[in-house]
Amino acid sequence: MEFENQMSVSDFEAVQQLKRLRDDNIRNSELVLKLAEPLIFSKPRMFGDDIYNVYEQVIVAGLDLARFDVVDQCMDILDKKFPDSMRVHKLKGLRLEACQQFEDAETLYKSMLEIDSSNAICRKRLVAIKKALGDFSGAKKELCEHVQNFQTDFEAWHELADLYIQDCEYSKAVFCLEELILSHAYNHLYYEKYAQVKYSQALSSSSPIEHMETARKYFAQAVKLSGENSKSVRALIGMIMCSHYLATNPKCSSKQKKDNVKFAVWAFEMLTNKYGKYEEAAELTPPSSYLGLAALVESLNINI
Amino acid sequence: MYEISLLASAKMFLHAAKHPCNAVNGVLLTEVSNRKAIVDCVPLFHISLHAQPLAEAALYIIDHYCTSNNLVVVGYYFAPELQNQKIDPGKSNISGIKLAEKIAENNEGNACIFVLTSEHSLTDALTSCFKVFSTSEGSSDWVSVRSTDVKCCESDQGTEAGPAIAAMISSRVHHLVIDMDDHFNDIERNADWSNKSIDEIVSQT
Repeated sequence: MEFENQMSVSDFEAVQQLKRLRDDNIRNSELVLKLAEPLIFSKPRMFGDDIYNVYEQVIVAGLDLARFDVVDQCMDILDKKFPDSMRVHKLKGLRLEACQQFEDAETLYKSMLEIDSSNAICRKRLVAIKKALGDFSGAKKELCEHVQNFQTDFEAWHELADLYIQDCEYSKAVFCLEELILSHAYNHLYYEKYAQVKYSQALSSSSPIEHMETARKYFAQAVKLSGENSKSVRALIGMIMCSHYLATNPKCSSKQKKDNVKFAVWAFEMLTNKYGKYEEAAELTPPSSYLGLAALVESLNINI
Repeated sequence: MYEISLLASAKMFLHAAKHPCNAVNGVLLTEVSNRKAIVDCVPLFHISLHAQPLAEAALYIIDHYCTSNNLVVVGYYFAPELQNQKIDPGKSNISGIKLAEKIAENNEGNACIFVLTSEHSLTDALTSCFKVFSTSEGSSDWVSVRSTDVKCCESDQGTEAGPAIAAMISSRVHHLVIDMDDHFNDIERNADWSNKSIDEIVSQT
């Protein structure tokens, strides 16, 4: 009796860590199984009411690692506790997908949609099946229909943007990313992604200057939003690349070129502050990314 | 005829093993004197594969590293996100093919692409775990290279490449791999994208 109520510190930490992984929606299946497997069948009471969420978490992790033994054990428990639950049915669909039985999974999700057509998760699983089969145009079409009905489903907008980027359909990707920025105006990551796509759009367009200027501005905004003390390295590098392109493009006016040299030098100085900290203290001699970028920026100063 | 050292092939597969749910890519390096013998590789991205400015900046950084180490970038590797993705560089459906084209431009039109596949296990011959395409001077097409024309070097102790890499993955070495994405996420903690720690482990295999 006494043993059952005793929680060793590491078990307690495991429970906490699993909760953190669930709350932040982090996909680290190896870790989930490592933490949960010793506990969920032998000491389920440690999780309290959360135990069923943990079974769900373990099922998804187990499917990632093809641990069907653990998956089926958890599935049986959930089935008995929640018969006819949509959430459990969705997990059964996931299991079919994991075994590459895509037609059966599709049938299951479609039958769930007939019962409840607002079930966004099932719709998205149908898109995932199309992706898994390599049918990217079908996936894009389904997602387009989905976002028309569920305009606040930001996960869907993001996935659609990624599908468009993969196929180099930059203007459509930009549209999706604009939706994300409109609703998450303080998230610097969306600005960065938008700027990255604008950069690619510039390089493949007949009027690159305008797109490249926009890209640089969005990278600058990302730098501003990412915080005074922890400026985003990607955004700074993006600024350097955009400014370098504009400063060396013969179609830019000399004022534009001078301004862009200033922007590149500024962004590089911000990077210098970041790199400076480890270059002094490092005991090992890592390869210097800093020097590679320095050469790039210095070449600008020579040109102008 | 291509040759790939255990160090390069190990880093490629360890990079892919560290991120089983993402596509990954990277560049392949050879010595300046022998551009068909791949001696090392630099893992690039697992998240920002489509971020062109970051890829170009990474190439500048790696070029600088190569110049000071008598190396040159001659190839590109890519592990697709999904098993059923069709891989055919002629139809440009390899993510980052533009990067490979840029590498070819800087190398007199010569470059190679290694695409990691998951049809076979690492314990079979390593050459069955990837497809190779190459392009050469004067042509802009990517041509498939036969697996018999690719030699996977063994370890110094004579272990075959496939089983050696499988053993490394079992010992969780893949968690040590640092790619450019990790580096950009945290410059201080993930300083060494040339993965010297993996160099040491491979030399002892």
